[in-house]
Amino acid sequence: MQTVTDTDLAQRAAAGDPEAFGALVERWAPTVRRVARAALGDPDEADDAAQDAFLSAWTNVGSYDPTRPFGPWILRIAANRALDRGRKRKVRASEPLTEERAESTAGNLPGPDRETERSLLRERLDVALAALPPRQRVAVTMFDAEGYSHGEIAEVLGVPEGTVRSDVFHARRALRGALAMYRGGE
Amino acid sequence: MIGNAFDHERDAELGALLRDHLGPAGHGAFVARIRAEVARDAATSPFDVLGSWLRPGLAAAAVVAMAAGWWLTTGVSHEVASSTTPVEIFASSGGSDYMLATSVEGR
Repeated sequence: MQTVTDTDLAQRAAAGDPEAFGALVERWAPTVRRVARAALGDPDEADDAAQDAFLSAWTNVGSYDPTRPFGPWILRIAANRALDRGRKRKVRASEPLTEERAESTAGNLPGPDRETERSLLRERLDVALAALPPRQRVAVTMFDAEGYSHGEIAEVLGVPEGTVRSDVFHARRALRGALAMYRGGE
Repeated sequence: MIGNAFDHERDAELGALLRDHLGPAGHGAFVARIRAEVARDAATSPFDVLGSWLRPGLAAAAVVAMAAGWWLTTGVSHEVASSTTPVEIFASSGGSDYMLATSVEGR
């Protein structure tokens, strides 16, 4: 249970309290970093985007509306930063995997070794995520992994709610298809 | 895993997979880095920012003042000294003859 709410911390941060903002970072870093990684793929680049987002939030925390939840506010900043970085990126160095490689690894799945299976599952998921458009990755991550509603995701991404529903649908279908052979065996 | 990709329910299994897969390592280090940046920024007062602008501003103003002073003392006096006075211009252009002729004809 959180004794101090996000809103309280944000208001203290807006008054210039770096410790209060640090507490917000402590709470929201995992989600922000996951969403940034969903958008960008590369963990280091995602952390850079997440750091930019938090520092921008610190500078602009005075513009946060305390009547609204803090999560979508910080996630909107983070998603914008990460998606902008992705658009500007010329070479996607973190996503060298191709569907061809995924097929070859899937075909060599060595029977009962759970650790190997987990490793291959991760690789398969990596490939499937890399094949999705960044906005779809963010949408499905926010919906299924972070528990946000379609409306909240629409607000974060600045797109209509119907677009988010469509993004989640297409992303789920692709991910489930890619993981089907592994999920069936469990 | 839920079969219908267009339903409104969370897919808990896919969600857990994504959280695990995208879950970043080094939470403590990341948070410490942001905290340090924020603390550094908070410790920097607006007067520090103004101070950082003041020094180059003063240096630029001093350079401009020196240049202006040099131009006023050296450049202008040299120009005045080397210029031709109106009397000399008048004399060299034969102006006195013209003025004399004009005044005689007027009579």
